[in-house]
Amino acid sequence: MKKLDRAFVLIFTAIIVFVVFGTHIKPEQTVSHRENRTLSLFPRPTLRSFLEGKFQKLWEEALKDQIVFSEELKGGQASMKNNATRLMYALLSTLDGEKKTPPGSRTADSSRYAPHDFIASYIPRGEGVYEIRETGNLVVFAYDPDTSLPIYADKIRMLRESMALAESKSDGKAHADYYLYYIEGPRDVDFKNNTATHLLSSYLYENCRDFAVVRDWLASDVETYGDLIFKTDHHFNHKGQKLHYETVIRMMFGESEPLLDLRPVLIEEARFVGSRGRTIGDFGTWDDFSVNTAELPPYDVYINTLPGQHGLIREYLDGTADLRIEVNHYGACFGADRGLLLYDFHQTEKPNLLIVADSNSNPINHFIASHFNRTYVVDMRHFKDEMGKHFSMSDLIVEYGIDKVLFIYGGGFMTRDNTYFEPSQAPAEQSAE
Amino acid sequence: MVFSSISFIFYFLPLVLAAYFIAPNLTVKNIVLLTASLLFYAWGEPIYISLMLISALNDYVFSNLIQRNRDRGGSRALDRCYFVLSIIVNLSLLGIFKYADFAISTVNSVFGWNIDLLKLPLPIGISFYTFQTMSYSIDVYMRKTEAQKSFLKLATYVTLFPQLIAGPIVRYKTVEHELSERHSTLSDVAYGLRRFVLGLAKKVLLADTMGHIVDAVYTSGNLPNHTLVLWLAAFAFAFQVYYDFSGYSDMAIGLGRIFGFHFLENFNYPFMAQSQSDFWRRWHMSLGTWFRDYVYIPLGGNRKNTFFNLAVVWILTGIWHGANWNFILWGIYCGTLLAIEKFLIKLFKNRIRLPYFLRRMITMFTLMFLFPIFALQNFDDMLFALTNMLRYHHIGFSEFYLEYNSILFTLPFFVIAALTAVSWREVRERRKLRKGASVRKVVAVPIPEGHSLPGIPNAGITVDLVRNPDAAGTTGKFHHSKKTDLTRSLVKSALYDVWLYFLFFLSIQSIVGSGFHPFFYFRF
Repeated sequence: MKKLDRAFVLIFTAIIVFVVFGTHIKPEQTVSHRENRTLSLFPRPTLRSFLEGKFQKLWEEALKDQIVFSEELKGGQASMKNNATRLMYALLSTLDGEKKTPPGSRTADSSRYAPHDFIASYIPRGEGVYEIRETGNLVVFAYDPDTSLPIYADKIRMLRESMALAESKSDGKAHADYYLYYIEGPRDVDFKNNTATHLLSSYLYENCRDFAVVRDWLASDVETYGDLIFKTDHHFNHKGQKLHYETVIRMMFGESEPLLDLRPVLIEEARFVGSRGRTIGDFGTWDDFSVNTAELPPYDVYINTLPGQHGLIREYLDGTADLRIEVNHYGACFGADRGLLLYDFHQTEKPNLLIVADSNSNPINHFIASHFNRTYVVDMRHFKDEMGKHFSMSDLIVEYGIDKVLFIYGGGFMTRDNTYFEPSQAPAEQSAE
Repeated sequence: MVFSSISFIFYFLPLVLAAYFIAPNLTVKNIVLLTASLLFYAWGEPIYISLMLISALNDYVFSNLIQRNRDRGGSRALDRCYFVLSIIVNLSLLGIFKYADFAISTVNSVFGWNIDLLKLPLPIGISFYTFQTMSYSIDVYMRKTEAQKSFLKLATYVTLFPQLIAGPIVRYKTVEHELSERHSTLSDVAYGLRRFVLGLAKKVLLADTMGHIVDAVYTSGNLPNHTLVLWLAAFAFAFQVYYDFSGYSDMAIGLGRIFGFHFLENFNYPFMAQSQSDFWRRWHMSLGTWFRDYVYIPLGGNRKNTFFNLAVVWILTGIWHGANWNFILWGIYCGTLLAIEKFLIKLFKNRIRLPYFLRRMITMFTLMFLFPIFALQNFDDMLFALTNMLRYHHIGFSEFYLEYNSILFTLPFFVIAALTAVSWREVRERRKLRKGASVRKVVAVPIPEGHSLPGIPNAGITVDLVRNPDAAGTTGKFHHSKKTDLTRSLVKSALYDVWLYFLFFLSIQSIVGSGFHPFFYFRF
């Protein structure tokens, strides 16, 4: 027994020594592609930070991120949870006789804004994520119109204020046409009750009729949903992106404007694990990743007024991009959400466009911009942090000579606190800064 | 700092162990322990370390005053005066930091006043170390021990990090000798590490996992009315508290052993209890015995005013657990169950003996209502949960796994927690007794929970099992040679150690895995 005791103590000591030395000998990791975030680094100790408890908190966070085999351990834990979830689902659904969720009521009203059945059944995958059995899409039950609608009402009020302000600032000389393209998506489907209610898009349509044009994409059935949205992500795939581009151009120019011939190119070695897949730490299921291409005239890109390159589309097409599965290919390829982007196609005979959008527009900004002279793309959520000043739509319209304003976003975008159109509309703590 | 953190396991503990075993003599070892304990506490509470030292100093000064007075043949009244002052200081510290805001908010709601709350943060472990120092002072006053003349030793005892923040409440008498004379062998270190790993696994793999179920169900204002879900949450909370507490106790006992201290056990398979009294003899034993020895017995115990004494003890026990009315209600409920049991025992005078299975079921059924009372501080939520535990509301499987998506992964752990809460050795021994099996006579003493009987993790035998000494013959295994037994024992122990490494790996994976925070939006 003494030998066993000695062996136990020695092995335990060896493990401790290995972990500590391994952690501090290897270079600190700054980024985790798997978690899509920057990692915590070991903090410098100061007396003040220790007394305030900050140093201890940062140290513990850094240890979890920097410990040797950290990514593997996190992946192992996520796998274990995944497998345990699948096991319990298999057991419970067997006991339940695998009954499918019942269909919702079918409406006789064939209006595009009438509720539609969304007949699907769901497999729980943990962390609040469900898999649509029929298509394999991972979704979150985020349908909550009771919370969203009042916020939408407030945001539309803010938008109209900004529109009026733009008119008054330019003494009526600068007049922009406004377009709203609301993209129905996961938040518009009442997955629990198998219904696409179209409540938010109906509300916008009813309350924004006086805009130049309003269109939307209807999440009307599970087949279409599965066809247009990535299985593991909340974004639209190349088919959905093409649909959005074509709908937006038709909306702004009518049928006469020639559309670009978008051709998808499959990036062979890229396996895309999107936000939903990452939430449950499942890197065993992925989407194929295709990029729409088209012949475009030369153009310049500016990021927050500085020349730059938004996204790595070229690198993905020529095979020089990082194609590891841990990389978030949607973000890497189409670019991060930035405060202010400018696409300058030097087509001075054409109008200028302002796009106010979320990440749904990133794959198609350059396609849309090719129909304009200068196209400014603003993500209100990041404008202040990146530009150092509050977003003011009226100032941008006047300053940049904007002819058309296009809003492109999905359900969650407008409900955020940091989406506002004028500095005076910013939440109190932001206004005070 | 907590035991179940990377900082503690991989940095603090190895450094302290290295410094401790390098130390040339016991005084230096005690200095190392004291320094380490202060650092341990300061890591979580840099400011309130002073409070702990004040508590230790208070009891040191007054206990030595009592001792000096006694040595000089001074009056008992002066002894009492010093003792009362010591208790007042201890209880004042506890009262101000833990109960002041509770008292103020109660007065405000009763009288409609508007006194401002103090909003003092609660110092970690104050309930534990206060009771510890009080027990020391009480024992000195009651002449059960002499005052400790060395402040270093007393401070080491009070601040000892293995049991500082979550118990067990270690009586001074338990470690008095070891403060001055102790040594730890390789076997002690190995035992301590094994026990630590076991406790870590209990805490991280079972308790924390059960916490997911509790958090998902016990959401204030949004409690489900599904009966099975509420029972699941009640059991999950029971397991969470048990494995958290007993896991911590295991780690504390293991760490204590490494340093040469022998702390008493704190849990003894409480879910095997056959009665209310049995449960409280198995659950958080250090607190139970503290109240028994320092409140219940001095009040008269079983000899006079039993029911009043029970009421006092259990209300105080409830208050000790937390500064909220639900804890007091919890204490009253526990006390009531015990009082009813005592009354029934008196009434029937052991003429009725229910079957073992029924005794356990009744005990568990009545005790399960404790846990929602403990968990839910909002009275409406508590009432809602308790009512719907008794009034059946159905939930289908598909509704359950859709609604409770995020906790499905915990259910296998729930089953493991339930199975591990059973003392299988006790079950086997009972079966043998029922069959009249012939076994060797053993002295009926409690084998500490988690004691590494080779190949049988976490085994324990309750105190009331006495084997049949008159049975003839022996079982087959006693005919084996000693060498075969030894080999078998070695193999079992080696396999047990492999199992512990696996548990350690899973525990570290779980701790690191809790730092998995995928970010939704692409930002780099």
